[in-house]
Amino acid sequence: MAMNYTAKTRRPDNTAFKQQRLPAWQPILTAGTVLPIFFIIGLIFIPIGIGIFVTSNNIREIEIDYTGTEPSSPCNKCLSPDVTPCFCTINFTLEKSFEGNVFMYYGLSNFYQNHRRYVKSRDDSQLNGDSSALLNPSKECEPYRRNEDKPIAPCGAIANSMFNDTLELFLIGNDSYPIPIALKKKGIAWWTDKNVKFRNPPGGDNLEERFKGTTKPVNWLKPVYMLDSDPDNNGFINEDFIVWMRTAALPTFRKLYRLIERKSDLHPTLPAGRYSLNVTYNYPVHYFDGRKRMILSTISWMGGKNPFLGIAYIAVGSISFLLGVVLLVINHKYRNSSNTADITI
Amino acid sequence: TLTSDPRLYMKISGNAMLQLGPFLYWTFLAAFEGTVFFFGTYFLFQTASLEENGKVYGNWTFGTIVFTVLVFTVTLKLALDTRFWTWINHFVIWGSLAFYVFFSFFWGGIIWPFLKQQRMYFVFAQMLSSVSTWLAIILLIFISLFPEILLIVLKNVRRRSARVHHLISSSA
Repeated sequence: MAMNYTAKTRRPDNTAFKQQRLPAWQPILTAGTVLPIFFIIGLIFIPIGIGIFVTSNNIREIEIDYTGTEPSSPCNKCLSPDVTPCFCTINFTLEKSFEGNVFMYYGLSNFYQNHRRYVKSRDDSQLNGDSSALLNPSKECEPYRRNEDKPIAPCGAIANSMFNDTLELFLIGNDSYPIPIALKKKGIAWWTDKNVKFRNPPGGDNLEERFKGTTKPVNWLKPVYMLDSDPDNNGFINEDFIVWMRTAALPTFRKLYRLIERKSDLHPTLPAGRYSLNVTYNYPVHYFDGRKRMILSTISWMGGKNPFLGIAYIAVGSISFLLGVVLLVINHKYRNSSNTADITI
Repeated sequence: TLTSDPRLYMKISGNAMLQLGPFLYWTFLAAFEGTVFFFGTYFLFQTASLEENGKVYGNWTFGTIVFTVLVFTVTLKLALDTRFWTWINHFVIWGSLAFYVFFSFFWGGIIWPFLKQQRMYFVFAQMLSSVSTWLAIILLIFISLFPEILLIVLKNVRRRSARVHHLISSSA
């Protein structure tokens, strides 16, 4: 019988791919390849760790807790104030001067900004300046969505709980006269947050006009269009507001509050001496056992003071180097005959 | 035929890869790596700021750091377990890492209109602008994979010593 040449054969093609003959490379992690890597890693990580650790140790940082729960604290009278707003002053001393740019943070403890329902409670289209979302905020903002039959701008629990203490710093000069220290309030939020993600609703020149038909959040003292006199820092693009809206990762967190710019190379930004912190105590934290702090810190190329990274690098580098030595010894003990044996896996 | 290269089947004979031993090892390794990812990033965040300009990171940056370390560790663990590298292996493994980076930039670079919340906007790019974060990511990947590399080297040293002893005893 003649073969039917038009019938298709079901045999796969004889290509390397289909016949599983692809050229393959087989890495073999022998001691000869890994040991040098362990030593190199040890030699690289340890200097990096030392560099980070030294940098971190040179960063100046001071924390002033001003919650006022202790009866001896100057801010104790503000826990249940007779007159609002309540002012209190805390004096402190800087042992060493702070050089370069100094950053002023406020810190809160036991405040769970990473609570799931809290984090969802915002309307990003409203904060982006969308006019329809301004008057009709998202359902996620409940119960901070409407108040007195008007939509809340900005809506949500995150905006409602915004930190509203005012902190001022004074240097106490030689004649006990307090000299105010210039605090810069712009440049504290992410550039993309300030210029892209948060936008005021469109409209005329008057910011109050643009927010017509909305009401302020329940816990706020002033409406959103009166947060600052500077029009570039008012409304949704107010930098303190933007910094607050970037929810923190951990229950004890710090947020950038103000910048103290360096004056010149000759004078330290904050000379050593006595200082006083004037607090306008508006934000109540004591009834959930929270604490409030003011932190002054210099910043280096690696950020703020954190010994963890330096110590971790030194530890890992040392362990790697040590294990390299141990493996070298073990390898040497077993290397008694020539390496003619083919190493197959 | 299938048995023309018996070398390929030595390591997996008797379903050795899927017994209880390797399974428990992978489980403990996973628990260890998870602890390293989270607590490594937790201790990294015990500072005021991670950037040169003093600005502060938030919730989503924390998660992005953990997730980036996770993606790289898991992919490199797969790479360590791959015995024969063809071009397909190179393409999918390194391509997967490259695609993760590319996609993170792409996803975070646009305000997507269909999303109700713009939580990831620019988070990945901002995270990579900090030197501390880079150093932490490299360190955490290395710590996570360290036990695995150590075990592989120890196994190879033991296997070579066993084979050498076998050769000596068989030739004697």
